[in-house]
Amino acid sequence: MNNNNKFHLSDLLNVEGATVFFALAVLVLFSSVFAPSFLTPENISNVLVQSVFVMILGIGMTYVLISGGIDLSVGSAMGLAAAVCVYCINAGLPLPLALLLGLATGAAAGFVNAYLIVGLGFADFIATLGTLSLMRGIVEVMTASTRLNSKDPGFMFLAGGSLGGVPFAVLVALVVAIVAGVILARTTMGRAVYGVGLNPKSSFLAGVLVNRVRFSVFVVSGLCAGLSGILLASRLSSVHPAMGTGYELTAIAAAALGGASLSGGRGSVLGTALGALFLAILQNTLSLMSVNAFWFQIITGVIIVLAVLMDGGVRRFVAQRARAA
Amino acid sequence: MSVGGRRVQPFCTMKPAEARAAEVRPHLVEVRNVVKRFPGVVALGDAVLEIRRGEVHALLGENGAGKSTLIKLLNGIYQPDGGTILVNGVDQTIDGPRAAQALGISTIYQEHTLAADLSPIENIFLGRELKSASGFVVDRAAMKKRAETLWAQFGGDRRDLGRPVAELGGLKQRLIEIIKALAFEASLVIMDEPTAQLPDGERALLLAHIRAMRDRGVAVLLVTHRLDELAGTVDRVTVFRDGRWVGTMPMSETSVDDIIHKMVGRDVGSMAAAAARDADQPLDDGAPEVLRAVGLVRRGVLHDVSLTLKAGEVLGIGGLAGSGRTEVARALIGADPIDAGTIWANGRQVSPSSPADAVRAGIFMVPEERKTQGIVAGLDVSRNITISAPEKVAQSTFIQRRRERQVAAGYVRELRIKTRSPAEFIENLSGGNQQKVLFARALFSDPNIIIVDEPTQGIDVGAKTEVYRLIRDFVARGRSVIVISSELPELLGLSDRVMIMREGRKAGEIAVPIGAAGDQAAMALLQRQVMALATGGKIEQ
Repeated sequence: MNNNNKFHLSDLLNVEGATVFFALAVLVLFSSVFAPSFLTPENISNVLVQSVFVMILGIGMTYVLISGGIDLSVGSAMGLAAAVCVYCINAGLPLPLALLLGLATGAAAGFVNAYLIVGLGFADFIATLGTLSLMRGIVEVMTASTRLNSKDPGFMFLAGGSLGGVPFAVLVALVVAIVAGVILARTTMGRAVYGVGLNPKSSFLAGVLVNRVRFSVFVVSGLCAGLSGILLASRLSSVHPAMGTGYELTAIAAAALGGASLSGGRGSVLGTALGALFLAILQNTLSLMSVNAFWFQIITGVIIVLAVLMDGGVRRFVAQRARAA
Repeated sequence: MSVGGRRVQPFCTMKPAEARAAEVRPHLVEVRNVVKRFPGVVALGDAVLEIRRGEVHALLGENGAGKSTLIKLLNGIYQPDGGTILVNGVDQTIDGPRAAQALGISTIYQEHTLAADLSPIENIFLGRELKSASGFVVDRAAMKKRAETLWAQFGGDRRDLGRPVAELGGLKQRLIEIIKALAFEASLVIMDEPTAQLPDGERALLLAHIRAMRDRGVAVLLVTHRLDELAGTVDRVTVFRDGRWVGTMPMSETSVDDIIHKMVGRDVGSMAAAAARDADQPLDDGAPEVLRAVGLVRRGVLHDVSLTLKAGEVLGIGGLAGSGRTEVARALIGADPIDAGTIWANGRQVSPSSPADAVRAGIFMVPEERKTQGIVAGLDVSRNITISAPEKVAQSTFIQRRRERQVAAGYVRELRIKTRSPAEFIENLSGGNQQKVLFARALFSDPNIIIVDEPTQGIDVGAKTEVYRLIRDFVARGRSVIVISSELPELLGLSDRVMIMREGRKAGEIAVPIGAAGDQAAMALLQRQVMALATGGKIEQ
């Protein structure tokens, strides 16, 4: 941005997802002051676990968004993966195998989306809207007569246990974020995802396997949805018919808060993770302050719009400064 | 004197402004000394054009001659930076297509602009529906009646008017666009390559309809590359070259050869010479063949195209825009699927299913339309370079940013790319420097064949000569280049051999003798030969 090494505020603001970082800092400050029980270890641990589901879902969504696509089916994929996993546990399968089958269900959902979109040329919005409905239907069938419950101690540990004082689910999310973040930011695959989102035509002619990239991001998204669903089922120790409903929008919101662009090419795993954390803390704070749950929806909506507006404003400001320089 | 049964005034090739003194009634449209500049380019300088009532007037010139700019000035998309446009003798400011329509000027663009799912009636009145007396309700009956009257003039079947436009053929769609223009009392209809996508039979019919329109008193300004369409249809022609008026002549007093001469007869020396091979580095006749394509077919686009390329050779592909030049290149690199044909690269048969395969086979294309197909805006210079082979700056799959930046910095130095740093976003570079980055991208994939499509589109003269130098350096190392260009001096200067495409077929091939670039007469003759092949005219010996 600048020729010299002098520090400029604009340099900091230009970092991907910087807006959400500031917003998060302000929110934590606010919560600490106005919600006295916010800073207790139990609550911190609770809010972190609460953020994990949207975070993992949002990380998969980030891949799709950066590539220029959208995946509306992740909420249903969560539910389906969870249902399959718990069903397998109850059928007596060993836990690792049940978990693997749950993850495979998520990946398979992503695979179907990818095939519809890349293989058959459906619009991503329509294809994933279709699989959203389809998978939700299957979850409802699977949970029609009875709720799928599991008190399997190993399964309960996923979202209930902790290692060295840190909730296990948070560790899982941390590992996912680091792996996904490094792949996106540092590998040739990650580079290709950005290239495809920014300009698919140019990337294609430069030798990027555009279709392979577009295919993989949906599989990644499905896999993340599967993992998130399994963790949520462990947290609830059951799968109910509507599990995961609406999560796709929260995941998109987290990614958008974190600087991801719905037109592709922009976004980061770190930004999305902070976005998910922000939403979880916001909900937690409002409930600690006994604010009616309806307000959470309203406030979230306002903040998302503001964040995206600010992000765009900052970007334009920085671009103008760059041109003027 | 009479053309097409109409009285035509005697003409001469003097500037219309001077001829005007003899006239009493003002012309329908008169463009006087109009200038239009874009950043870094003068698109039109001192342009003149005069259109008379009820004539078919052809506007001719090579790509980049300024025809489209002139049209956009007439229909109000652009505003002139100098000069005046008179309509019926009155100085007019045309500030948009609506204003142009109000003055009786309608334009039919090259790209089809009809909504495929709507009926012809709906299309004709789209956005300007006739209203009933109350002013609130769309008057379907009135629109139907008006459309039927016009459609009948073109001998159309009224049942066509109720069907979706998509179900009508190409000719009928074109006619509907004409009616759309006429429905609002146009006295001048501008048509940009109206026959471009029509088969020969329909082409002749459309031209007949254009003549009939003229006989009903509507003036037509026809932009076309098909010079064989002129005789019999066109009353007068105006030729532009490099944004300047060259001449206006009655068709009866000129010939296609003369028109081609006027279209290309510029000072061809300097640009061609800048691009040309040094006399002391002649092409090695015994060099091995590095690329051979036989019988490339892509249905409806390419018909049985074959080519060969030797090590150290520059093969030019010429032809008009839309003639299939770019499509040949896209077929070679697997960007478009082919229906038939075989490709050998470096002695092995290849069937690239995507440009990634072509990169592996040692072929890289720097595409036309730098902004939309070339650069990846939002990535910096270094990432734009390494995108063609990121694994070369990666350890296993992890990109080594330092190495990537060093590699980029090397290219920035070597190709003299003007940028503040390799970490600068590519969209902040000038067009010429962006083009050099794209060339660096090509070089980074280490190909032995580079295809460049319009390599100097929209860049200034200085940057052009640098791009020529890059191409020369590349072939001097025994590698090969295919260059596609609309600029004939550039094409002929760079190439050892030029193949000319017309309507998806190879129309011919011309060898460019070494040293021809410095010889004005030889260059002019070569240019006329290329134009003749590209437009379907006779080849001059």
